[in-house]
Amino acid sequence: MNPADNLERSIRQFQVTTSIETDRRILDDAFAALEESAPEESAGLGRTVRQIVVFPRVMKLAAAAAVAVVACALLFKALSPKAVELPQVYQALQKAENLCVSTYADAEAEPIQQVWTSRTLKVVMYKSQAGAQEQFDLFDIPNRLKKTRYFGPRFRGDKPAPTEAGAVSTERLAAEQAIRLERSISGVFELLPFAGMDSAPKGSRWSKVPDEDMGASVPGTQVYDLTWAAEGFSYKRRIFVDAKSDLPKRVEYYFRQKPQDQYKFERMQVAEYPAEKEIKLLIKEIFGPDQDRPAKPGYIGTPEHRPQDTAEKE
Amino acid sequence: MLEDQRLLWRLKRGDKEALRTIYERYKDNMLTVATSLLHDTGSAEDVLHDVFVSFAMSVRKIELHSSLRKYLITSIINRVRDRFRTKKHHIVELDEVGPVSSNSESPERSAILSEESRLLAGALARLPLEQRETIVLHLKADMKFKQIAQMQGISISTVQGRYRYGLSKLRTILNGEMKK
Repeated sequence: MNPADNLERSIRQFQVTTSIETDRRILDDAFAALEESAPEESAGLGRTVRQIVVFPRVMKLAAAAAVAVVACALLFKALSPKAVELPQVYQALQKAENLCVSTYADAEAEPIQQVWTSRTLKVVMYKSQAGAQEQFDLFDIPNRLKKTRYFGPRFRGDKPAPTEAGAVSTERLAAEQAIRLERSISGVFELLPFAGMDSAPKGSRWSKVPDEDMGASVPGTQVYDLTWAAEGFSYKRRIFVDAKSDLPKRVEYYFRQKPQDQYKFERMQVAEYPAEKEIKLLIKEIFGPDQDRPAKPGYIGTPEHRPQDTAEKE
Repeated sequence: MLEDQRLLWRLKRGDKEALRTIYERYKDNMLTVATSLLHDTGSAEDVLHDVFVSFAMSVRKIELHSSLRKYLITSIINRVRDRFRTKKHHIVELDEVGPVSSNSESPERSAILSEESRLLAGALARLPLEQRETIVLHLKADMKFKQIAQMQGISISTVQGRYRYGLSKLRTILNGEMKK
């Protein structure tokens, strides 16, 4: 087969593999480098004459230091953030005025979907992939309008450029659709499955994950696991709660079928809380300034992107 | 990325198994990127060796701001650029290009390349380094044009241009090879 026929696919499939010999050589050297970089352990334990002579004085200093450490520990405990309960997180989320939730199927990849919600503006904007294009859907509840705009590969850049207009279509939102949307933005989306442990299934648990188990986690957060069982599955949500605001900053979704199984990672959502003006600016960048946006069903943009149904109606 | 962070955390505490897991996970991707850029599996393995040993040496100081894969691929790119800069590796000229370096044909050498891959690697080597790097970063390291632009310190449109021209030239080279 000529690789020129499908060049991009051929390059993606091009793979070079190391041999066992190479692996051994690199790993041996890497292990040695790791050991070399290890922090030095304290010197030998044998007591010298000098150590014996100065020992009592050292002991006094050590005792004083121990008292100071205990005092610091008590002070730290008093100042350290208190444990957060699930209802606190739920309430904080209900009070948040603006929210951006990015969903990741794979922690290494780009988000598969982003949703911006402004409770003050009563708008919801979705960004998702539609084939090679990016699709933005704006639901404007007060004006009962839905606007859609696509950005194809040639429009991709640092951010969408309104001057290189892709397709924008506007359609009327049905009354019941607007009501449903309004109801949905007053909730907590899907970040939390329950308002509190009272409403969770029997046997559910809300427990703090010890900091030392988290490694490099999200700074400024405390981490909690919410576990419950339903319909033959066990679920776990690992929730990274902001220590100051009680708002969730990251939620990881896991599940397993049997109790003896390891939990499997399903997806992750990252929550941010932008200001209202940031959401306004984003909408302006994507859909253009207010005066350029059609306030009624219609279509602006390049002719080749015109949706069939809009073209027929006009 | 979460799993990577956990591995990195274990590695910072001297866990060799974590180092082995990271190596197993990313070695082929790293080697492929290096081979695509250098057109010499021997040199590419040297780069992989240097990057990984240096990673193990300095892991305690590393603060990860993106994925571990991107960090390691970026290290490979930087090391490849160093080789070109310090003339350890010369840019392959049109006339010099043959199959991937003869080093790879020795039984001791590690890389295993199919005939189609050899053809592709040979054609890639004929591209200017900038175009080659852009194509490899986009298709083999899954980096977006925006990320490549940031990494190379150029505009996105320049990156897109290099990618487009590079692919077009590659297609011409490969079609020419098939006619021979």
